[in-house]
Amino acid sequence: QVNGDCYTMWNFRRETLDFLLRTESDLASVTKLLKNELNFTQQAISRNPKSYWCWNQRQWVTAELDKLSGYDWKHEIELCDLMLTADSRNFHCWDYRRHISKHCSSSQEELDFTQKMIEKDFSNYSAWHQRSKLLPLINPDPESFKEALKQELELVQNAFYTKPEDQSAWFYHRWLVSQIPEV
Amino acid sequence: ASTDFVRDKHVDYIKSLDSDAAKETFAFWATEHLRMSGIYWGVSALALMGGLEEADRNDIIEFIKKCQRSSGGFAGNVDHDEHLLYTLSAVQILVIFDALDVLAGQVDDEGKSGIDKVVQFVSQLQQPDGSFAGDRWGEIDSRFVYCALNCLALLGRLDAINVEKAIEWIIKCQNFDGAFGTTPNAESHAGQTFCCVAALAIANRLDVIDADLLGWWLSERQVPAGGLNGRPEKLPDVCYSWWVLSALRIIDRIHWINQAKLTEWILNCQDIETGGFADRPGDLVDVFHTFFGIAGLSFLKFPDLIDVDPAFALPVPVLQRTGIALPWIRS
Repeated sequence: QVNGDCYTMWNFRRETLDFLLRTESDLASVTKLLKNELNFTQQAISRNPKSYWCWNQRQWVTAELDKLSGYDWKHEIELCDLMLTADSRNFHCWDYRRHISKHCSSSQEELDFTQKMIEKDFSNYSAWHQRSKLLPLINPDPESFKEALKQELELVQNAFYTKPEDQSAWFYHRWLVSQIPEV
Repeated sequence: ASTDFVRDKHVDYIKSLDSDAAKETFAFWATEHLRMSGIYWGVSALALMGGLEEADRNDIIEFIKKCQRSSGGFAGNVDHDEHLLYTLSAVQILVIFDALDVLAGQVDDEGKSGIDKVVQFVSQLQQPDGSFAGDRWGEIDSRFVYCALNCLALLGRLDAINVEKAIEWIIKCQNFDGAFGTTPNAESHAGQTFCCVAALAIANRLDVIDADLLGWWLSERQVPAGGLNGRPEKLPDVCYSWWVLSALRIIDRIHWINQAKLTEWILNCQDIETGGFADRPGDLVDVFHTFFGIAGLSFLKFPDLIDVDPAFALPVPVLQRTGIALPWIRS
């Protein structure tokens, strides 16, 4: 609670929990242990939203819960929604969201999420970046990819007109133009 | 704030970090877990100011020895767990003190030297896809591939890992803007970009980089006040004078930023009363920002500072002593 970055302590907790998981036969008490740890990581992340160690712990706990009795990964999307509302540029949270979304969210749903983020704030570089990764996944065919990028041009132009001093749109625009030679 | 470089105050500040008074502070204990890196930042800063003799060499070497775990890796402090981050810092400190023989001389029951053990620890952290974990718990991050390459290059043991596969993985961390993130698909960040660019430099694979594209993203880190930030729309921080400047140095585009304005901004991050640098003007100082502020000034050719190597983050004369080739340093 005092030092969220005390990684040796997080290691110790995992070693201890791991031992109990392997030796304790009662599923209910083991599940309770993991759920307590899950709550503990939520507190840790709230206090230290930019601590690699805290997010790692949560990643470990959710994986163990999933192995044990299945985990509703939508909880993690909700946590990410919450944390990204507090700080839309928290890359630890974006990384974590990318990690867990494969369990419970499609690329299109994630693209829609980035659109919401951008409509809230055009200078959300993290959201534009995420689009640069999702668009090729959603449009693997080169022709449909180019069409999707042309639509991105419209989105990015809205950003220019609304907030011309914001950098994100200009970086993204340069990339779009480099991908569509005829533009 | 001042545009004078208060060298003696900085030396005194760094020396005071080990004092009894320092040990009474919250900050001392809140950073207990990364003490090894703290010592590296302090010792390196002293070295760049030509004041290495002010460090307690023997004391520090004894501390380092106590931090090597049976796996061969080094912990951030005594009784903490080993990690790649602190393994790199430990090796860097020993190289600065020309004390690698301390490790070489320690041989275990199986005939393995302290150096063999470090090499073993680091090489075992490489994953099938070329990436590196930070420790046995498996966190993957581009910081760690940098730590591995730097550490093993300093020990002359890059042969112990698959460098080509590591480069393959680094390439996957490259983004639409030419910069790099923590892992594949992660957003570009100056710290991670430094790690990837420096790792590529050590592996002699700078061909992977689009220098003009990356140079633009890096130079746009400079804000109107002159300081550098780590990502678009973020506040400037003196530590980015390292992460951004070293990357620009490696790709030979330092002239793409306004060096005079940055110099002035960095100097304003000093606390001229206590010595040391803060993340930005007016804030509390710490040894992390002190090293990066001084290293940044070294890149900017501030007078009376020793040249710092942008990839290994060590004084150039130290590296020249080891004989490691530094192709990105022009004579």
